[in-house]
Amino acid sequence: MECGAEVRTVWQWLNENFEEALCAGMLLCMAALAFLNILTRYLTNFSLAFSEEIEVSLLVYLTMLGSAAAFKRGIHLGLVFLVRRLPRSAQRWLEAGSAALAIGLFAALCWFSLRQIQDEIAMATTSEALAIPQWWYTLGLPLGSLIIAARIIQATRRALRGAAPS
Amino acid sequence: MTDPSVWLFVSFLVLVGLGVPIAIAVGVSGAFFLWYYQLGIQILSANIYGNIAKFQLLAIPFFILAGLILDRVGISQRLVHLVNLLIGPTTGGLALVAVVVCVFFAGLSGSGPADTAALGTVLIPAMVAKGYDRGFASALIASGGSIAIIIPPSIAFIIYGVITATSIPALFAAGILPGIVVGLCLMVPAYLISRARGYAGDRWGRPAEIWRAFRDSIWGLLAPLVILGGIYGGIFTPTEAAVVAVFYGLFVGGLIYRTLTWRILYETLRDAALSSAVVMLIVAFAGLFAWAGSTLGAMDKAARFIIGLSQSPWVTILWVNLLLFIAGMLLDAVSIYYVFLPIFMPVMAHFHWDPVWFGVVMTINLAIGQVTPPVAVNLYVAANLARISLERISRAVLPFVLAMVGALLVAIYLPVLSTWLPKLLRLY
Repeated sequence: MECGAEVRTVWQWLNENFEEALCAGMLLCMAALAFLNILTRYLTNFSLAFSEEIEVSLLVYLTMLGSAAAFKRGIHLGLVFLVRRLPRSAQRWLEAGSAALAIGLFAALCWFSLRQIQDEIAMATTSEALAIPQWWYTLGLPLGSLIIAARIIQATRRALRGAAPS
Repeated sequence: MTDPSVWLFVSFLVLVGLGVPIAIAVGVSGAFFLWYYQLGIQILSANIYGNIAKFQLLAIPFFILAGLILDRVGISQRLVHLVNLLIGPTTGGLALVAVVVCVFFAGLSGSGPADTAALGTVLIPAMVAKGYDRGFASALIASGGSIAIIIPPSIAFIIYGVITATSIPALFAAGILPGIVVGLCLMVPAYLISRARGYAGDRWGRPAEIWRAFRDSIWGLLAPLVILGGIYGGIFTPTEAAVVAVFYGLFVGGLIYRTLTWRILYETLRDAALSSAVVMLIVAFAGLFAWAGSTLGAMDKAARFIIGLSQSPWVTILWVNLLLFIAGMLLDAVSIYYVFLPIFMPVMAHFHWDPVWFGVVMTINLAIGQVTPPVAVNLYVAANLARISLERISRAVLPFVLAMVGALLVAIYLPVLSTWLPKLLRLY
């Protein structure tokens, strides 16, 4: 079943690099847009006002997707000094509780951002510079929340099974 | 103890103590109080979006990226080589080289842990090879790395400027001299310990060698001029200067040193994006916490409490700094700015403190927080690079923490050290 193996490798690559690759691409786009804006302003006295709008909204997507990758890799900053001194079973409970809180927070963010999007669609809110639907930008919050929640569940299951985070 | 204001802060600290990531802890307590006291939880989404989507904050990913690129194309090794030839056979030569390079590299990078990683990779193995103790070497680099947030560019000043609406170029200029003072203070224990333990220096560089090393690192030496010259020449905003620094790094790495490969480019973009996201998630949720605290009236109450502590501004500033020092042991700098600045701003207004001076003082204190355990980002990075335990590096860092506290006191009692340069440049 070579085909199955290939699908599995693609899936594995996505599992390991999906958010990372998107974030790297977005950061490159943001930097390139900003640089282009500087060049046009000094060479032609024109300002690409829309570029700032795109950069800022890409920053929202970058924050959410990059945070998902950071949850997967366990690099969000925290105070583990006290917890490490507890028995392993207590640590597991705290890890599960911490994951539940995080998922609850992102569930709330997802819910309220979907309601914000509803409002923006209903009122046909458009962005200031490009006049495109505002909810295209807001969408980063619920989408990101879902991916983050999935990564937290994945990382917590792995941690509770006793494996070290990759 | 039934005052919800107290519980807001207590719940946050308890969650952090239980090992919940700081971003989540600050977000959960902020969101819970907004919901429980019916302060308008509906704004959750709009508030988070607004906290992230600020033009000035774009400078954070750009400066992180610029610092990483300038390091990975090979500027840090070249600088270490040059400074080593110049310092020569002085006792503790390599330790002093480390501090000088840390101060200089702080002019390229705005993140303490990124600086520690960049210089630690080069300097810790070099120092260990010369017979320096691993604990001493890594603690020194971790402390020196924290100067990154005092000398511009600085992520810390960007966040302080956004929260307090203070001019970021003015803050950047204000950090230069105090950052150099912190470096000088770090040299004292570095030299004394090296002398006591007999760490010898290297040989003098021959003039031809020095010239070659200088020519080799000239592109690195010019980078701070590009960044700061652009800002103070009135050509660029800080965000634009950060972007220019990114492309300067790409230019040097791609065309001059020819060390930049597609793989390095991808890895640098990825690492910069992830580091930025970790910072920005704290920005998003700590901003929510600050909003909840202000709406609840908790920030005003805490401010009135601090104002009531003493009539004397000098006593108050010491209390404020003690509070920041303790907070710096338990939390990261970004969440401290968002949680504590709404409390300190009324205090600053009451005593007519200069916001630029206060920003420098607070930032030096939080730079110390990057090396005071248990939460000490720079110590984590340096201990990892040196493959030693957090306990060992925590003991080794103590003399450097004392030296930095000395520099902090100098910055507190000599406001002119911070305000002279921004006033000279007519930035405020």
